Amino acid sequence: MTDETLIQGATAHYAATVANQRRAADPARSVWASANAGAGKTKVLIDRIARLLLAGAAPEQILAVTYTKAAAAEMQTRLFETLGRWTVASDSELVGALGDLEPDVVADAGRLKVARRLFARALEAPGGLQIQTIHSFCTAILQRFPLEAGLTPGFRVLDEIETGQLQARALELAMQGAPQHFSVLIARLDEEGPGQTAGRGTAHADNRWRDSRGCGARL
Amino acid sequence: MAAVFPSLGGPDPSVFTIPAGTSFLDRLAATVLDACAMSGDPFALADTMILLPTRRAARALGDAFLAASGRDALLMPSIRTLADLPFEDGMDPGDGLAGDLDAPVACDRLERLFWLASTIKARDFAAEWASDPVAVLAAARALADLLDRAELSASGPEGFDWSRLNGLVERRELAAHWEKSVDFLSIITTHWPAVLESRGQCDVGRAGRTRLERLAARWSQTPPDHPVIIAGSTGSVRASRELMSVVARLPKGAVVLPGLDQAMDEATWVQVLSDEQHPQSGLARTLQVMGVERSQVGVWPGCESADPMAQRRAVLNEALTPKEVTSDWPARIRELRAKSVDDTLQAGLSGLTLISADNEESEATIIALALRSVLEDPEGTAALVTPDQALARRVAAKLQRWDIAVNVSSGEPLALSATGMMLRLVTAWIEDPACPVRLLALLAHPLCGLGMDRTERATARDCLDRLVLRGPRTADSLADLIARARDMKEAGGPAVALLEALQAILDQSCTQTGLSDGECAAPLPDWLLMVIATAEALAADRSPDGTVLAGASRLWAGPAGEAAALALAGLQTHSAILGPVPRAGLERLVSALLDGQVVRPIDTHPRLAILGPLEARLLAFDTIILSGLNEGVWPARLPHDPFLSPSMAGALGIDRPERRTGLAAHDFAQLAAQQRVLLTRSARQADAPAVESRWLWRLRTLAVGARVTLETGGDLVRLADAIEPDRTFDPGRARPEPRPPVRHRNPGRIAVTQVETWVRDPYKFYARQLMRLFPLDPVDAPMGTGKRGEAWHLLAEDVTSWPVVTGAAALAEARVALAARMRAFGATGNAATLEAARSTTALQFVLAMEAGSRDRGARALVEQQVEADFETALGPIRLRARVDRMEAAPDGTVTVIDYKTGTPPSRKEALAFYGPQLTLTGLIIRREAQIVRTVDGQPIQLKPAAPVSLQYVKLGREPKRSALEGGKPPIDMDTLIARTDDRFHALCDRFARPGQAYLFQPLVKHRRKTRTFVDPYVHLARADEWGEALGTEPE
Repeated sequence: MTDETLIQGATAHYAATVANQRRAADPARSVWASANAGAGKTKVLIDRIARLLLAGAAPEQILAVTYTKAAAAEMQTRLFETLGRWTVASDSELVGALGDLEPDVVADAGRLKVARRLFARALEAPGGLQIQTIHSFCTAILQRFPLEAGLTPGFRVLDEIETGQLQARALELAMQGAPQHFSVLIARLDEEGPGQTAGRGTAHADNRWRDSRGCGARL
Repeated sequence: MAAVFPSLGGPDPSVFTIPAGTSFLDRLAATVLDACAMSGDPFALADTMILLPTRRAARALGDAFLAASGRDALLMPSIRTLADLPFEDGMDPGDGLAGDLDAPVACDRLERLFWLASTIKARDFAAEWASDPVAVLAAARALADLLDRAELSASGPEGFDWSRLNGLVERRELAAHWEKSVDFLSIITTHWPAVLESRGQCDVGRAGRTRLERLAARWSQTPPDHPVIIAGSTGSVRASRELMSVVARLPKGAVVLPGLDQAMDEATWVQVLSDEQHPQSGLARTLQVMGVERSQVGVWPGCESADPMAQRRAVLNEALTPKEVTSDWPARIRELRAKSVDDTLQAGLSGLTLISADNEESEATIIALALRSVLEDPEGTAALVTPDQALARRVAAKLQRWDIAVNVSSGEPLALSATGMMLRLVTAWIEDPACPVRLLALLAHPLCGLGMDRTERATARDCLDRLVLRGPRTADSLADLIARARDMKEAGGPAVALLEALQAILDQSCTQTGLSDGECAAPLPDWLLMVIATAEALAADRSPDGTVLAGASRLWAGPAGEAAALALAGLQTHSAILGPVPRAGLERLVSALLDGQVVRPIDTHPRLAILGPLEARLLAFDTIILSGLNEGVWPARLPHDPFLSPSMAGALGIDRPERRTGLAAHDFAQLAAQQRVLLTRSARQADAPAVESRWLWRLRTLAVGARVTLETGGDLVRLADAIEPDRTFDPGRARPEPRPPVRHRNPGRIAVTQVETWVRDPYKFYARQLMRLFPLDPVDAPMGTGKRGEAWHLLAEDVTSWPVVTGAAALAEARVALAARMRAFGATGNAATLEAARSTTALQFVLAMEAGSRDRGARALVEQQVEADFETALGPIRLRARVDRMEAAPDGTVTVIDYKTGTPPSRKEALAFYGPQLTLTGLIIRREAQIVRTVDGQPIQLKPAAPVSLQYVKLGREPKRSALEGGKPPIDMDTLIARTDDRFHALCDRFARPGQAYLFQPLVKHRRKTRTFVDPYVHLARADEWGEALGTEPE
């Protein structure tokens, strides 16, 4: 292959990627995106949120769930960066940015105004932007509806040490309550061999319990 | 025309503002002082009443008056805070409010909390969480918080009107589950008001509000004849807004608002009212309630002339402009720029520095350095303002390194103070007196003097720690522990004395409080009495000269002691209503109750301060540092309302929480308008990346749009980096390479397993055999794997003496025996049962092995010790081996068996001298005639020439027996043993070279994935720090 064909190939790939990203960032579609690290998955998500906002969605009504706090913080920061650039961009710069996002929509003066306002609106979304980890999202729901969930209003989430201690206590109580049954159960699991998931589960609980005994008082 | 002072004149209604960036209190004092002087009445100042929002501001205003007068003493005006009304000290200048007997008596906050908790407990007894007092209190706190919020938004002589809640769900067609909330809320909407009425009390929140309302009513009927000024309040609370409205219309009244933005154009101002997060929105609302137009507000006399901070204000106001008008930001920026000759934006940002630190630690260092540098100027003053308590405390700690003592003005959490900690430790100990961890934690507390002198106490504590409490927990009571210490004979003496002293203290407290030491549940006041009695007894101290210091005087000394005493007294008075609470979880409950209480500091630095945003209001400093500027910290995350949806709260007329963000923004804007301002944040927070505060986002974005640069404090950051210890890390240096003198390298008499360690991990061998470093057992640790192995070894030994080793009965017996051995090593009953129950396969294997050797007529010999001398390059070394099991067959073959509860070395490793335990044992047997003994004590002499079989038996889930001489390629035992001899000498030769270091696990590919907490020597070698960085060292 000559250099030229290589370059042509790369250019074609790049164009295809941009087109794919654009399609994936279209909020009218339901999309499953899977790509290598650094391929632009977060960019697609940011673009998607930006397009939703441009279309008039209230920022606090968009939920983006991540699995780590770091990812949630990064997404928020990148969204604010994008919207912050728009709010102080010159008209021509902003027309360019919006055109990259949605080539088919005409960026008239009204649309520029909308785009510029998004930064402050997103920063000040009532209750904050809902870009968060699955854990904090679920916790927030439970905090808002504790009585429905059968939890104490004003509850607090256990930390790992406390969880271990409580698991240990629960196992201990269960074994004290029915030692014979427990022995039989464990023996049965033992006979079925280590490959059994249930057996592993019990062994795991047992290890956790041993570990947690060492933690002692929460002081 | 109304005027607070004839000379001042001013608008009608009499409302002024002091612009942000002007020192509010100094300006206030100076102008009042001037006006009083001009009136010619020497008592004019003393007759004046000034109402401020916070006590700190009230104190500072006194100082400001003194400073403005230039005198040492002054007949001060009456300076009060809005929260302290009415003036119960009788100092009220003549309007008779102090004696207003109609004023409702407020219930106590704590009393309310416990009433709510007990009601929740009685009402929701079926709910799983209702049996946990901590959970019930959390729910009670949530209800109390809602009550307070409601009262802040309420008005009128009655309590908050909850009647609008009735039918709200249907009317608004809300989801049916809200009914559950409404039903739960009946505790505060119906029951609590009824209780208050029957007691002739009113809610604490309503009491504060009613005072303001009564004062407003009285003043509007009979205006006071002295001047009244309300200054510095934004009117965030409805009742104070109403009072401000009245005072502004008094003949001698005035209201001075903090930092009203009068430069903002009208079109933008219209947006402010609907933008609750805008810094001016609170003031806009207050003006609206007062019926005053923004244009009617006068500038406080004295502020007009010099206004050096006008440009900063312009920049901040633009940065925080209402969100709806940001649609034209580029145009607005151009306009702002065109307004003045010099660039408003660049000029406004000068003196303002923005630092984004990597983490909280470095943010604290930077702040501490900035505060320190202010002290270089002998007159300079500075304040750190942050809502982040942890950061505040960190900075205070950093400043101590230069011997600069600055208190965090909001105080230290009581639960973390010395007395608070002591009380929590005592409670934890009472909960479970024999718990090793709790016991040691208690004994380590400086207040736990036990009436002993320091040396005596330390000796006894160490003895108890080392001899009695290490390893798995075995004792359920102090009596058990005492028995265990007695078993140690004389060595345990100090521990016995200590434990007996503790027992005596506990017994004494039980007698005093009438609780038995086995009491499972009792009312909280009784428990607290027990905690107090015990803590006082424990806190007694004896000085070296023999003087005994009473525990009570030590425990309750100082601000922390006073705060603790006060807190406990309150709890004792009010908590009985909660009914009996269980002993289990007592510490958690007491900690939860102490949570949120603070110890107020007494002394403060004359020139530096660490303040919360509320306390910093109205104060002025030469340098102001605003820190913790991350989303969720400043502005704070708004809490979720567990009972009402935002729309329900709105329908009830409860202020939306977003208003708090607006108030916080006002604080920020006011503070950032001072001359020298440092804004800091940390890029990471609580181990995760953090998002910058919205105000900083806006400020930075404005700067980008205006193409001006923000100062980023490079010098300060570099300085902070420079003073911290060098954390750059050289893996080559971190790796331990001890090379002790060769004459110290002879280990003497060592076990073959230690030779295995020597080969695999010379560093560990060095630490153990040459340095004699051994880890202590952890306290209250789970039974370690080593002990588990020993239990199995002993079981296998037990089995050899049993008459019958086949059949179900033998298996059952083996189970019992294993459980007994496990328990003897400190396994809990449950762990022992569990181990025995799931070890069926391994137990069967052990029994079958014994049965097999009996069938072959071999004599089983267990736990034999064999030894032999070797002359090596390091000098004479005596190798010994403990053989788990030896079988002497009739043909003279000796089988050596080693049990492994973990994974034995592979055959390859064993043959390559990388797992030399068995081959060395073989070598010992071949080298010297060994005498071993049978179970019944009969001596047997092994012939060095006898054929040997070397075998590992792996116990566990998949038991396996494997002989080294078996397998492929086949191996001749004589050759193997001869080669082992060579390898052992080669090992000694190598370490006889002075340059040879005792490296940590030099063969990376063989490095087992041992975690630090499993093998303390991995930790000792700090392998986690450099292990990744360094590869294999060539042998």
